[in-house]
Amino acid sequence: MQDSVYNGVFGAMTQMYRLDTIANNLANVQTAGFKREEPAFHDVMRRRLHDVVDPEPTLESSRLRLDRDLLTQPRISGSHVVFEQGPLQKTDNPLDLAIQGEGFFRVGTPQGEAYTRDGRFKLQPDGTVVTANGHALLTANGPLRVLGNGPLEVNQAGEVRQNGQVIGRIDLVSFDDLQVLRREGGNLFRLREDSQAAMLPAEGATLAQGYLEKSNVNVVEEMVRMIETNRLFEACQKVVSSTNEQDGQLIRKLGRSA
Amino acid sequence: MMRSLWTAASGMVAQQLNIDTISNNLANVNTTAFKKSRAEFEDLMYQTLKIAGGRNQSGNQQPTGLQVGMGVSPTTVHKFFKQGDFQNTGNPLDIAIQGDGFFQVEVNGELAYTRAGNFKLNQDGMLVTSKGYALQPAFNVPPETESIVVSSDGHISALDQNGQELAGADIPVYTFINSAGLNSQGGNLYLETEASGPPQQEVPGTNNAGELVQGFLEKSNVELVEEMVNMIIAQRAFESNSKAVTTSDQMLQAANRLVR
Repeated sequence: MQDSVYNGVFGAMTQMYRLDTIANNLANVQTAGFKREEPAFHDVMRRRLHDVVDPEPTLESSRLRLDRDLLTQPRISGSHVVFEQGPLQKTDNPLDLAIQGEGFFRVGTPQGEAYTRDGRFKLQPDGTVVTANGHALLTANGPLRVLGNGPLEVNQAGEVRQNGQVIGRIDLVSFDDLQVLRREGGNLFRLREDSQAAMLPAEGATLAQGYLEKSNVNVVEEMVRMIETNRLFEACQKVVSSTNEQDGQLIRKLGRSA
Repeated sequence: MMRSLWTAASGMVAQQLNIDTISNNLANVNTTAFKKSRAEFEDLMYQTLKIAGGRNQSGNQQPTGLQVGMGVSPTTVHKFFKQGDFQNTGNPLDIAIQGDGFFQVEVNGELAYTRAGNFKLNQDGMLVTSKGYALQPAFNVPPETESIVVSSDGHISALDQNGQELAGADIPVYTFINSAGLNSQGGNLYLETEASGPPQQEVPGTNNAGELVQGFLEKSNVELVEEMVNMIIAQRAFESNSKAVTTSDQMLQAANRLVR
């Protein structure tokens, strides 16, 4: 068997994984505050090649071919969340809040603090402002709670006023490295357990009341990627089948001459 | 089989729910005091294939992990109690609430809440909704009544031809801390739930409760253009998810071609 079979197989597997990511992005094209995922796989190709280049090659030490186990690694190293701003949609609902700029809402969950950009808040009967899943929106002084049913006003800096009286300040947070955030589903992000990233106040971010941040998935881009993925998968399949053919011919021809 | 097939299928199901909600909004574009709904979604769980921060083969720390999302799931269909437009009907029994609050009506012995103020009189002269449910507190209009007047603070009085009050009552409005948590019963009725909190009885126009306006009806708060745009978006989102299914199918086909 030639190594190219493995290349073809893992190439095809990579494309399948890539399609999984694209499908997830497309499924969440209408999810408020959703951030699209991009697999980092071109980078890996480069790094894999770089990994096996001997810095001081000599004739004796240089290997004829690359190690098989290096070649047969899947070509994806990771995926990263693209925290680009999503478009804002006007809803006029006073409990719809959109963040403009880099920042997150802090919400309290049974497993500890989580972060989200999904600003579709609701009220609980005791006046606590919660997400659709019932996680409380946190301010510097604990969960935000409204008094009675007076109209709410949230200004750009996150100050919440009811009947002209300040009842709390939504503090948006950010991190010095956003890639320390792990997705959890339910539009929540959580800090990676081992991360040392520092939480910062989100200085550049402002709040817009009555707006929702839509998903930042771009359908056209995803469609193009999907076509590309499909064709690459086909190409990988061709690599496997033509390698297979070559192997077959080799066996037949060598077998005949012997 | 491929994850992407199920992921795309979850996207299609979600968009279907979205279209269902939009259709219901459109169907009720002329329903008195109808409140529009919005389907809301969230991303499903993630499968972690590689942990960020772990070591890779070359001994370097992995800067990002590898997480594949499993699609989308609907969380809620949220009702918006935004004020609808007013229509001047001139009918003295049409009462609109300008602002927050609901009328209380009795439905088969249970208390329900409505904003549809198109009241009628039944055979006993009692003020009822179009379906015959009595407004609370019950108000009987005496037979010799010439006109009915409702003040903005909720006082309803039946007057004779000399302007003498024959009967009167105070109609309160009821507010909820979380009106979006009410249970929609159909027929413009809502029921109290644990999520909505208990009803607060208020005199109209006080404590952020709305005022009553006689001779007006509250129209549906559905905005046609907005719903149409939402429908287009939902349809296209459905379509793109169906393309993801097709692509997964084609890739599986190509995989099957490996064996001839």
